Amino acid sequence: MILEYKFEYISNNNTLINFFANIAKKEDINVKLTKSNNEINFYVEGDEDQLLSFSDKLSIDLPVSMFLKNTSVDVAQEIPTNSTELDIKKEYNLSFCPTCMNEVDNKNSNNYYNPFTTCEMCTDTSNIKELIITQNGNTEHTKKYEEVFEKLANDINDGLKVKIKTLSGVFVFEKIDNLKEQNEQKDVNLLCLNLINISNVLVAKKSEVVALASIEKPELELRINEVYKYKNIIKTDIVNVRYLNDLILFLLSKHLIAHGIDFLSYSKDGSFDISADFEGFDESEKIDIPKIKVLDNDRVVVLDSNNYENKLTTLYEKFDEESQKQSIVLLGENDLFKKKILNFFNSSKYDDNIVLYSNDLGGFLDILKYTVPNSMQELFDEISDDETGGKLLINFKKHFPECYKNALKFDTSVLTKNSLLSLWKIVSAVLDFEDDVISLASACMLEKGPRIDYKLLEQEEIYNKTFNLVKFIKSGISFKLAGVENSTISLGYIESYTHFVANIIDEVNEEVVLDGVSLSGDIFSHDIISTLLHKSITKNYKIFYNKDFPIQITK
Amino acid sequence: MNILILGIGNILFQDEGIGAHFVHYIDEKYEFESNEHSVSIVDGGTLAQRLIPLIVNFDYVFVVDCVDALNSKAGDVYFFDFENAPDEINWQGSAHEVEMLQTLNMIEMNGDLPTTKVIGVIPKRIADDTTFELSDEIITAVDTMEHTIVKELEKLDIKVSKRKPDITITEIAQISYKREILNDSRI
Repeated sequence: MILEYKFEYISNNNTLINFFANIAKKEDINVKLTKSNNEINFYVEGDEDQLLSFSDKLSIDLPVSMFLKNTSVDVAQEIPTNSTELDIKKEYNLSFCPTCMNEVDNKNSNNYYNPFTTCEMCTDTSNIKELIITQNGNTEHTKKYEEVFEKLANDINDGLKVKIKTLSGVFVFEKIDNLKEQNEQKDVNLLCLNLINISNVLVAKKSEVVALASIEKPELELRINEVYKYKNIIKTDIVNVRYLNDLILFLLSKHLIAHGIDFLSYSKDGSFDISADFEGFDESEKIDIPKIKVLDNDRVVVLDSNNYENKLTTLYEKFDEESQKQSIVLLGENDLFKKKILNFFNSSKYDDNIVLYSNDLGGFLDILKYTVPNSMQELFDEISDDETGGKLLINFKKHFPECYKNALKFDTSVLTKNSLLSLWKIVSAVLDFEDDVISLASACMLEKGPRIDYKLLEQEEIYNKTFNLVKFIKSGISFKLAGVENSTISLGYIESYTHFVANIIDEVNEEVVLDGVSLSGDIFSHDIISTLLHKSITKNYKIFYNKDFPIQITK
Repeated sequence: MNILILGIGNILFQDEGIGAHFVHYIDEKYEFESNEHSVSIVDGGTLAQRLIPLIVNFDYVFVVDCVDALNSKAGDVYFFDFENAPDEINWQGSAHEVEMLQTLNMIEMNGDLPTTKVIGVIPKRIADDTTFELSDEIITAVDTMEHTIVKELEKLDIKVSKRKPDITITEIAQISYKREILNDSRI
C-alpha cells in the first residue's frame, strides 16, 4: 500500500524534508518524494500496520512550520517514476522540535530537564555541559537544572532582572510589570511563554499564533489589546513578540507559568541582577530569529531573516538598484526566469520601480517611475498651470490657509526621489493629515474611499511612463474641499493605488501576455495595501512574493 | 441576459457627477429580481476606457451620464439608443474628463458593443467650489431618470421593488464616494 502525503510548503528550505526523512529513518520505512515549486509530495510504502505507525509518529514528531499551508493524504496507486530518495541536508539551526521538547519534559527520560540535549530528530547536537550562574559576584557551575530554573523563575517573579544566554543570543529578561516604571518605552520586546493566554495582552489572529509556535519561532509585531492597555503597563500600541525558541527558555517557562507569568519583557542589554551563562557554544550554531508579518490572507512575509539559500545572495549582488536586486531574487526563488513577470517594488527606504521581466526582452524593462517635485512651490505652480487647477488652489488657500502655508514649508529634498511613499508624504503635508497616509487609511472604518487620480501622462509606449503628480494631488485637495475626512481621503489614496496597480497590469498584459505579478518591498507588508491589492488584481494573474528571502533587505 | 447600469461622471464637479450619484441612488433604493436576467450596477466615475473590459461582458447596458444638447436647459433628460442618438445631442459637451462616447465608439468598432441605451441629463453648471451639492434642476430631473430606468428594466422582465423608498439623491450624493455598491458587477 502507498500513501501520498501532499504538503503545500511556501519555502525552498529543506526543513520539512529533513524531518520527514528522520521520522522515516526511525520507523525504518521507505519514503520517496516529488517536489515542484510550492508542493512537496511524499510517497510512503508499507503494510497497513507500518503505515499506521508512521502516521502516528508523523502527527507527534513533525513540527508545525510557518511555511506550511495545506496538507492532505491519499492512497496512491504507484510511486511516480520521477520521485527521488529523501536526502537530509542540514541548512539552518532550528529551535527545539517536538521530540526534544518531550524528551526534556519526560521524567523517565535520561535528558529530563537537560536544556543541552542532543536530538536525533532535529539533528541538533550540543557540546554544552553546564549552566554558569552568577549572582552578587558569586559564580556557580551547575547541572541541577530543575533547581536552577525554579530559582530563576522565583527571582524573576520577585522583580529581578535575569541575563540569560540563549541559543539566539544574550538577553535580559524581566516581568512585564516592571515596564510600568518606564515612562519612555521604545521597541518593547515580549517573550510569550504561554500561547494559550496570548490574548490576555495581545491581539493576535489564529494564523499569527500558529506562526509564533512554528519551528521557525519568528518575531512578529502585534498590537496590545485595549483592556491590557488600560492597565498602563505597556505604553506603546505595538510590540515585538516571539515564543520560546530554545530549551533553556522552555524549561524556565514551566516555572514562570506556575507563578502565573505568561510573558516576559526582554532587551539585548541593560542592567541585571543574575546571569545564566554557558560555555562550549559555537556561534555557527546560533538560532536566527526571523522577523515576519502574517498578512490578512494568512500569507507569511519574511521581513528579516538570514535563513535563505546562499545562491540568493549571489543573485542579489548582481544588480545595483535595490528594486532590481529584490526582483531578481524573487524570480529566482520562484523559478520564474523563463516567465514574463511584472515586478512591483514599493519601499519605505529605497527607490520604487515597476519593471517587466522577460527573457525575450533580455531582462528588465522599466515601466514607470515616480518623480518627487524639487519643492512644494514647484508643485503648486504646476497645479496652477491650468485654469481648473488655479481655481482649485485659490479655493484651497481660502478655506485652508494654514494647510497651504504649512505645506509650502515641507521640505521635499529629504524624500526618496522615485517613491510612491514620498508622494504619500507630500499628500499628507498638503492636506495637513495628522498621521501618514497608510496609518490613517488603516484606522479608517469605511469599506471604500473616494477615487483618487492615479494617472499617467499620455504616452503610447508601455515603458518609461511618467506619473501625473498634479492630478494625484488635485483630487485629494478636491475631496478635502468637499469636506471629506482625512482618514477617508487616505483610504481613497490607498484603494485607488491598488486599482492603479491592477490597471497597469492589464495594460502591460495587453502588450506582453504576463505569467504573473511579483510584489516586493516593505510597503506590501501593510495589511491594508495587501488586502486591497489582492481584491483589485484579478484572479487571472498569479501573484508571487519572496519565499525565504526578506521582502526587503534592511541594512 | 446580463444587464449593466453604468453611472459616469466626476463627483467633484457637482452636477457633472450625477451619473455616478444616480446609480448609487438606484442601487440603494431598489431591489431587482429575475429568474432569467442579472442586474449589475457600476459606478464608472471617470474610468472611461478602463471600463471596456467590463462593458463587453454584458448583453444590455444603460449608461447614465451628462450630455449637452441644442435648445436644451439644465435638468432636461434624454433617453436614446447609443446607435441612434438624436442629432441635437452632443456628448462631448460635458466638462468632466470622461471620454465615454469615445469609449463606446471604440467598443463598437471592435464589434463588441452590447445593446446600449443612454440616459443623458443636462447639468446646470460647473461651479468653482468643490462640493457634493447638486443643483435643483438636476434633483428634479432625477424623478424622470428614475422613472425611465425602472420602466425599461420592467420591460426587460425585471421585477423592481423598493428597498429604501425614502432615500433621496441629495443624501446619496453626500456619501456615494465612500459607498459600496450592493448590486456590484455580477459577472
